Amino acid sequence: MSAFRLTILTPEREFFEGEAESLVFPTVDGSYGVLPGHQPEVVILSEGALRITIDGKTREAAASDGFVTILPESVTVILQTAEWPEDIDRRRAEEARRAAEETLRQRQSQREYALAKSMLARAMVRLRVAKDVVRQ
Amino acid sequence: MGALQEIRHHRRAVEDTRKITRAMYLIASAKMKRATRMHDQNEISFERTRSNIRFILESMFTPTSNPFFRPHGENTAYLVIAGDKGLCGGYNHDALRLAESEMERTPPDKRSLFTIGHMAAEYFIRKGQHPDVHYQHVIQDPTLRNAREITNELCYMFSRNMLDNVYVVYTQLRNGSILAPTARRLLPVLREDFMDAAPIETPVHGLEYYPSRFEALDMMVKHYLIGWVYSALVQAFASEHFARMTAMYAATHNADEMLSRLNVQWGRARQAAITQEIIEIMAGTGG
Repeated sequence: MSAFRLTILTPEREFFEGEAESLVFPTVDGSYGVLPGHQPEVVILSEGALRITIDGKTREAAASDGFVTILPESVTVILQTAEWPEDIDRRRAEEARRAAEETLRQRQSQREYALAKSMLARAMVRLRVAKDVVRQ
Repeated sequence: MGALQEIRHHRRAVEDTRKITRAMYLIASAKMKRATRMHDQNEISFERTRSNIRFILESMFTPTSNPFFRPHGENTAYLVIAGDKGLCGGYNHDALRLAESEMERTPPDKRSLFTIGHMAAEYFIRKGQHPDVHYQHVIQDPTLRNAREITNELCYMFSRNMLDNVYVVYTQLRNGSILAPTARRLLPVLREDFMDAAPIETPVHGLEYYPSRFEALDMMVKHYLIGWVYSALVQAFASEHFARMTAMYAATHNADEMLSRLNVQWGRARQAAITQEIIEIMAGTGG
């Protein structure tokens, strides 16, 4: 089966890059499908599931809104976030954990900074005092 | 014996300091590398978005309906990005000085101040100008999510005519080794901002837009603005850690030099003490 070059990009990573046989994605009024040889077009993508067929197998991915640039040689999807289902639960959990830790960590970090600064200051004082004694 | 003791103390103090500066150096360099990777990744989708916007703008004969392209009044917001901490050479100072001089272009009653990073907020509070909005904890964790929230807020205020211009003052890391404090306009967006984007290989019959080219442009501009702010955050983060890395490298190097000097001193003092003792023994034997 013929295929086209598909690139899916988010600002954080290259989510997918390779040959695909079809791409189906949600738009404001229903699903929109792309097969090889599609006419050149730019389509707005709504939040929802992307369906990508690679080697006869269809995979789904969760996607934020974005846009799809369909050119004769390539199809490029640009969006904010995209995830495979197997990444989702883990990532959600991860995110919740991070959000909770974040507040703690920031506080901790400020404290550590204060600590490191006072350690430095103490070391500096020691240096100065030691130097004074050596000079005498 | 006294001198030996003193030198040993001095050496201990220098060793302790060196441990701290060395650890800070390693942490800063790891963070800088991470930020540089984030920046390079963002650049790919950002540039593609810019190319797409350029293509639309060039194929449109009427002025765009996108609200972010419309310049209006004089109310200007400055978003100043600096670090949460010091110990990074002139990084904070240089960015804040630039921000201050940039802000003088706008009369005080027309300008508002947004800050990211404690150092920025503290600096302006000391100068008697309290930030109107301060984003806490953002600079230590420059995520896309944070960038999105900040962008959405600025865009909201812009579209409600609460703000007419938005400038961002941050530090760029050029060629991975030059810190360049910069002030750049985020809003309004101008046509010229896209004319240096790489052109997309255009099909003969041009491009169709679905549902419409105006909606396509709106979506692209939204992505462009988020990518822009994200890039600024990540670059500021990389710059801060580059500056800290350099400062801590120099500090560690100085400590090394000091230690080798102290070792020599210690050797001499020890030798002198031994000689002294021999002389005393000789004197005691009445030789």
